[in-house]
Amino acid sequence: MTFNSPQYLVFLPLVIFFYIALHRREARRDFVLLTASYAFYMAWNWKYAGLIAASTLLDYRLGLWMDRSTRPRSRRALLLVSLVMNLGVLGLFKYFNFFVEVSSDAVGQDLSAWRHDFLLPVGISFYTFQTLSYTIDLYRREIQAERSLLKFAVFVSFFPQLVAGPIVRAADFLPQLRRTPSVDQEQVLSGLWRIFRGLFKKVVIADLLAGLGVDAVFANPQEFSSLELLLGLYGYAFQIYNDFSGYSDIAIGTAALLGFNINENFKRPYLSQNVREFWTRWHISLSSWLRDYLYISLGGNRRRQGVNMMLTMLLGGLWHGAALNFVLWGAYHGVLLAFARGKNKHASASTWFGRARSRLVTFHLVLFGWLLFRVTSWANFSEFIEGLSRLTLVEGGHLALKPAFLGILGLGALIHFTPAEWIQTTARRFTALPQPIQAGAYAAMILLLGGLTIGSPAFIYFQF
Amino acid sequence: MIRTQVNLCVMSYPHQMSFRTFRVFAWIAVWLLLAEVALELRAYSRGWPTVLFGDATPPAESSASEYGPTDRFPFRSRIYPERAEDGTTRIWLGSSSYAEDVRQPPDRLFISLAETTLHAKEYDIEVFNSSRGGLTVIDNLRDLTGSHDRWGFDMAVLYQMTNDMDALTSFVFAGQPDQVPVDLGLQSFLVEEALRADEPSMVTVEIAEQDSRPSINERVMSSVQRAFESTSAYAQAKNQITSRLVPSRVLASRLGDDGNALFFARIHAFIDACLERDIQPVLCTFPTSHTAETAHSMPSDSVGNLFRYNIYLSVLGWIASVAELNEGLRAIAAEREVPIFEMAEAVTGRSDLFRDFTHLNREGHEVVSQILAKGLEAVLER
Repeated sequence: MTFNSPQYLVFLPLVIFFYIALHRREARRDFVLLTASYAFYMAWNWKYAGLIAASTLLDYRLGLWMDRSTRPRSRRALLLVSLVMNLGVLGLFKYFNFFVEVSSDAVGQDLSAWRHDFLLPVGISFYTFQTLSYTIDLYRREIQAERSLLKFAVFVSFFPQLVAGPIVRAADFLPQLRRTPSVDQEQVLSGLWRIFRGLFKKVVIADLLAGLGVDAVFANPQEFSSLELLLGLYGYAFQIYNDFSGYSDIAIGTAALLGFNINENFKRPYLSQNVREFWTRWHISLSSWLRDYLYISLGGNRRRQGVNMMLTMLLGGLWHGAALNFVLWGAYHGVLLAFARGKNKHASASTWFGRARSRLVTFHLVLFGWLLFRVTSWANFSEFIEGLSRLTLVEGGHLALKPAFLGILGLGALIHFTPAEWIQTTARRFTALPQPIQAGAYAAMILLLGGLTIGSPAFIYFQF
Repeated sequence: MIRTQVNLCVMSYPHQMSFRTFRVFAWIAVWLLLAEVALELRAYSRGWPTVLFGDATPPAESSASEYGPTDRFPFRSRIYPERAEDGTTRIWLGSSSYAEDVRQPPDRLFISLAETTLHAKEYDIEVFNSSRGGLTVIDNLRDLTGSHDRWGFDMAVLYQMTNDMDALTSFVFAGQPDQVPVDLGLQSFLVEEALRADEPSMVTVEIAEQDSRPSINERVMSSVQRAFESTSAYAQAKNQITSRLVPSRVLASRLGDDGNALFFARIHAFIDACLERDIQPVLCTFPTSHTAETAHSMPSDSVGNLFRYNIYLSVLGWIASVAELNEGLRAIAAEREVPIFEMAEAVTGRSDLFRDFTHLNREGHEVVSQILAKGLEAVLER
């Protein structure tokens, strides 16, 4: 079940109904959330719910023992167990086959018999990082262990952000579980606005960009002119932004309807003036996770800053998937960050022109990274680069990309670059309208989104 | 007044949640319901099937009651007992809405007309029309293997193509099995995976049936999906939006070698399944209302309908792919020494015989029945 499926249209009101009905009793409302979260996950594959349950039980138990333990050595050992077990499962499902392939190439022998056929559990990278943040925070004594297994299980499996984030921290989430939820009308209306805004970004912008041009351009780069390849690449930049930030919007909106506050995951990243700033605006929950739990653990800014950045971004790239292009993408950003390490991430050019130039340069640096991210093979990358370097405007006397693609690309860019205050003002004005009118607009949007079946319904970040 | 009451209600439970706070959900449901009822009425008035009001034009029935389907006889053709008399040849037809055609009475369908023609020539045959809308070759294969033991067919005629093409475009161009339409995809994907591994075809069908048994949650999910897709609102939204947007895509000019190979693998599986059961397989080339030369004159509602089911091929690409697959069918027929009936050669491009781009009209059924009767006669005379 995805957020943009008809099933979710039935599921969410049902969850809200039971949640309201039972919200006054702490254990009951936690039970509703846990049941809903597991039902949501099991709609994809019921067999893999056991993995989340196992990860939950393990980290819950380790957390309690770590909290009780005063000896640094045993605390470290417990942390190590958590790291090995969680990363072991992640490694087995996500990276094992990749390493078998790499090893096959390295030793020049066919090791394919070692490969496994397990499906990659949806969201495993997200919930693994979430539980790891809990045990690491406990080890650092930044939080206290959660005594209630039920609450801890809800923290690990909370359905709005279970499969594609934002990654939430125990320190932010668990206290919210302990208080009686309070949701007023304004929160309901703004939560719904947020959900539909996210759906619009996903179904109208991201899916149409993919369906009307991006997929075709990346599938056969040799059939398109340089201009079309560039437009296709721009299209992908706005596709992935609208796809992923749309998911985050729906997650944040859904959580708000249940009385939870989840931190923002995107802040108009293509307005960044340098790559360091980009990483404070793009997938914020992951970049802050990597900073707090990996980069700082490696030594942070204190020593070998460049190496630490490189390693962090390499692993960040690998987090996205077991493939060489993700490693290269991570390494590319690592290099960019290492070069930019002397710069203040919030530094801004003094003139309008200077800021525009910085933004343009940064956007195109990031854009090249998206090319590495999106290609399916080395040959695909070479064809794309070769096509771009031909510097042709049209291929075969006409543009293969149609005006509708350009229109959606423009709309995607407009949504991204519109100042946040304007969007907030629009949201405020819309949610102040009589509810039947708001509901009518949402109903029309459901019909519109239901009828749009171009492009893949799956969110890009589901595969990670 | 109402607003004051609501505020009081909210204020009296400052730290809790109430159903009234969420009443916007009820409003959304009301709007959706109103839209659905309005669109159902519109659909009903135009003669389309609806959820609330049923089917405005129920399946055309024969004046005679000797035609199925019934509870005991699942075929849209003349009702026969389970056991055939000695010397009778039982002919099974596997197709889709092209031969089910609920707008025609069963005795006016091309297969029934061909049967009548052959009866008049004193051929002792019994026809079993196993066609239902939306089926692919894989489904036909499952129907054939599932019902042969009971009804004992001697000959199996396959008249299929574009449903398979639609499913295969999703598979080939979207590239992932989970992006193939749920009802058609997984089963055929599993079969094809096994076919690629060079497994015997019947084993693959068994594998597919075993592996595709849905779990409870899959059943719940797909029933919600089906309920949603059965609404007039969905059909209208898809018709009005998706089919209009498809021409704005970068559309493919042919199904491609991978798609063709998968379709031909299905045809080989059909032939294998027939031969293993001592059934004479018969193939048919597939006719369409327009050719590449006349595609520009295809009515816009036909084009829109074509894009409802296929969002990857251009109109010309779709026509070219049908022609390529027909060529492939001829090659398979020659290679496997299987009879093939040339429907495409006889009626492709004769738009006066079609009610849309693939479905025949009454006159079309009559013309095709003559080709079918002639072909069957030749096979029966062997």
